[in-house]
Amino acid sequence: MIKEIFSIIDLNFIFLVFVGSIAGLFVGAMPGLSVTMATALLVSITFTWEVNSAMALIMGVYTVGVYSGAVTAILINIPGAPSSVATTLDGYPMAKKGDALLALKVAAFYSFIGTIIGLVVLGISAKEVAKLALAFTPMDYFLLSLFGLTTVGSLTSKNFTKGMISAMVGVFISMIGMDPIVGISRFTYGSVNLQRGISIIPALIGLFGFSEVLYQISLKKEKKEMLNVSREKNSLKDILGHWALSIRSSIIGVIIGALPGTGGPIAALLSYEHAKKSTKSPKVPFGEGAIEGIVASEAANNACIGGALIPMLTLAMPGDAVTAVILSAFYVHGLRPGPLLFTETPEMFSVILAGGFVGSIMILLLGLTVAPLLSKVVAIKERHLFPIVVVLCVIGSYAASTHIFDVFLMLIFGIVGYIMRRRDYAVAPMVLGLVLGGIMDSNFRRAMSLISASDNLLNDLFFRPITIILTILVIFSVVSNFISISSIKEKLKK
Amino acid sequence: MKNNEIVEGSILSVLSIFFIIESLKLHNNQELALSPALFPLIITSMGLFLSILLIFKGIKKTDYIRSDKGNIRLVLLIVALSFLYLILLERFSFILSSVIYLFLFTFILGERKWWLLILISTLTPVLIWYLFANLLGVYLP
Repeated sequence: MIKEIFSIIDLNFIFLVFVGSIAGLFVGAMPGLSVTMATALLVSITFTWEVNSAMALIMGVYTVGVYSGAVTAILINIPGAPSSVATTLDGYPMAKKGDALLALKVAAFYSFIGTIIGLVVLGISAKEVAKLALAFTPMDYFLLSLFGLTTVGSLTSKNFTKGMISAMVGVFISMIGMDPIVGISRFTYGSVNLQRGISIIPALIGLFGFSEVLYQISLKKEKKEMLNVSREKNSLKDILGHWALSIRSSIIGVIIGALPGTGGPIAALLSYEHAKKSTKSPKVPFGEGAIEGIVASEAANNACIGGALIPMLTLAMPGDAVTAVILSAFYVHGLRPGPLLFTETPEMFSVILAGGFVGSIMILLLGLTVAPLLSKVVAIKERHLFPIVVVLCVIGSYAASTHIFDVFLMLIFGIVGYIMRRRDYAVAPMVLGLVLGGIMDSNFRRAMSLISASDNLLNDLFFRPITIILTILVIFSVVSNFISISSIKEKLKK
Repeated sequence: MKNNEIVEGSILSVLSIFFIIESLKLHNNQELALSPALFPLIITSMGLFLSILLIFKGIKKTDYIRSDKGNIRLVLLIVALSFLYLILLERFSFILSSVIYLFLFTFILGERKWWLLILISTLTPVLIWYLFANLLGVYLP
C-alpha cells in the first residue's frame, strides 16, 4: 500500500496540498474562519476538477487547518478552531511567560505526530472495517446514522434536546425534493427549484460560512492583545521529550474521531484530562503553561483526522463536520464512499492517505517556519476580511450548480444558522442530519419492507450481533443524555 | 423577561404539527413500509416530541439568564445588503455587483478611510474574477 501512496505523490500533487495548506494555515488561525467553512468552499470550487487534485487541496486544508487553530490559541488565547480549545489552557500561559516560540514548535511537532498516527491507524484498519461493513443490513445503516445524530446532538449542544431538534430539522430538510424510492416529490409546494432537493453545498456554506460571519459581526468585541514571539532558542529535548504522552493522546484522538458525530474538541479535552492525570510531576503545573497540555491537545485533535475518516470512507458515515463536507465532495464527484469504495475505486483511499501524509509534512514545514509570523496576518481587521468572505460564499454556492437559487438558499441557511447559534442550537447536528437524512430514509424503508416480506421478522431484524450492538449504542446515547447519572443518585438517596 | 424555551418550543411544535399533517397527505394507499410518508412522519413526530420536551424544560427552568442580544441592527443591515447583492447579481456582471456590495459592506462595518474602501471594493472582485474565472475555470454570474 505504501507503494501505491507514493505513486500518487508527484510535484503537481505536492503543489496542490501546499496551496491547500497555506489556505488551511490562514483559516485555521483566523478566529471566525473555520476549516469546515474553507472545505465547503473548496468542494464547490473544485467541483469541475479531477478528483485527485480536489482531494489533495482538501486534505491540505484539513490537516494544516486543524493544526493552525493552535497558533491563535497560543498567541491571543482565542482558539482559531474549536478543536484547539484545550490548547489555550496551557499554550497562552506559556506564551505569556515568553515561551511563545517553544509553544508553537511543540504544537506543530505533535500535531504532525498526531496526524501521522491517525493516518497509520486509518491505513491499517479501514479495509478491515470495510469488510465488516459489507455485512451491514439496511437496518444497521439506519441505526448507525441514528447513533451519529444522537452523539453529535449530545456533544455539540449544551442542551441535548436542542441538539436533537437541530438534527431532526436537518433530516427533515434532506427529505425535501424527489423521494429516492418511489419518485414522488415531497414538501416542494410546486417549486421547480425545490424539486431538485436542497443541495448540500449551499447549505453547508450558509451554515458554516455566512452564518459565522453574521454571528461574529453581532458580537461586541473586546480587543485582545497579541503576544510577541521572541526569537529564543529552544533545546530539542524540550520539544521531542514527550513521545509517550503523544502516542497515548493520539490513540485517544483516533478513537474519539472514529465515533460518528464526535470530533476534535472532545478528543482534545479528553486527552488533556488524561495528560493531567497521567503526568505525575510536570515541570510547570497544568493550566500555568505545562508543555504536556499542548502535546496532549494537539496530538489528539490532529489524530482525529485519521479517525474521523475511518467511518466516512468505510461506512459513508462522517465522524465530524469536516468529514461531513468531504463526504459531500465524494458524492459531488460521483464516488460512492462505503464498503464498496475499496473494490470500486481503491485508488481513492491511497489519494486520501497521500494527501494527509503530505499535509502532515506541511504542518511541520509551515508550523516551524511561517506560523510564528502569523501573528501579523491574524491582525487583519474583520471589517476588511468579512465582506470578502461573504463574496467567496456567494461564489462557492453559485459555482457548483450555476443556479442563482442556490445562492439564495445559502443566504437563507446563513440566517437560520445565525439564529440557531444565537439560541444555543448547535449547527453541526443539522449538517449531519442533512448529509445522513437520505441514507436514513432509504435504508429505513428497505429495512421495513424486508420485515414485511419476512416470516421471522424479529430474528431477521434484530438478532444479529452488529444490529444488537448498534441498538444498544443508540439506546445508551439517548438514555444517558435524558437521565444524567447525578439525578439517578439523588433519586436513590430519597 | 421572556422564557425562550417556551417560545421556541411552541413555534417548533406548531411547525411539527403542520408538517405531520403534510406528511400524512403524502401517503396514498401504498404499502406502508415503502410509503414516502413513513419517514417524514417519524421525523416530524420526533420533532413534536422534542419541542414539547423543550417547553416542559422551559416551564421547569427557574434561573433566567438575560441573553445578550448582540448587535442585531448591524446583522439585519448586512442580511438586507446581501439580498440586494443577490438581486444585483441577477442583473449585472459579477464585478460590478461585487464592487457595490463590498464598498457598502466595508463601510457599514465601520471603515471610513476612503482610499481603503475603494481599494478593497475594486481590487478584490477583479482579483477574484481573475483567479476563479480564468485560472480555476469557475463559472461566475
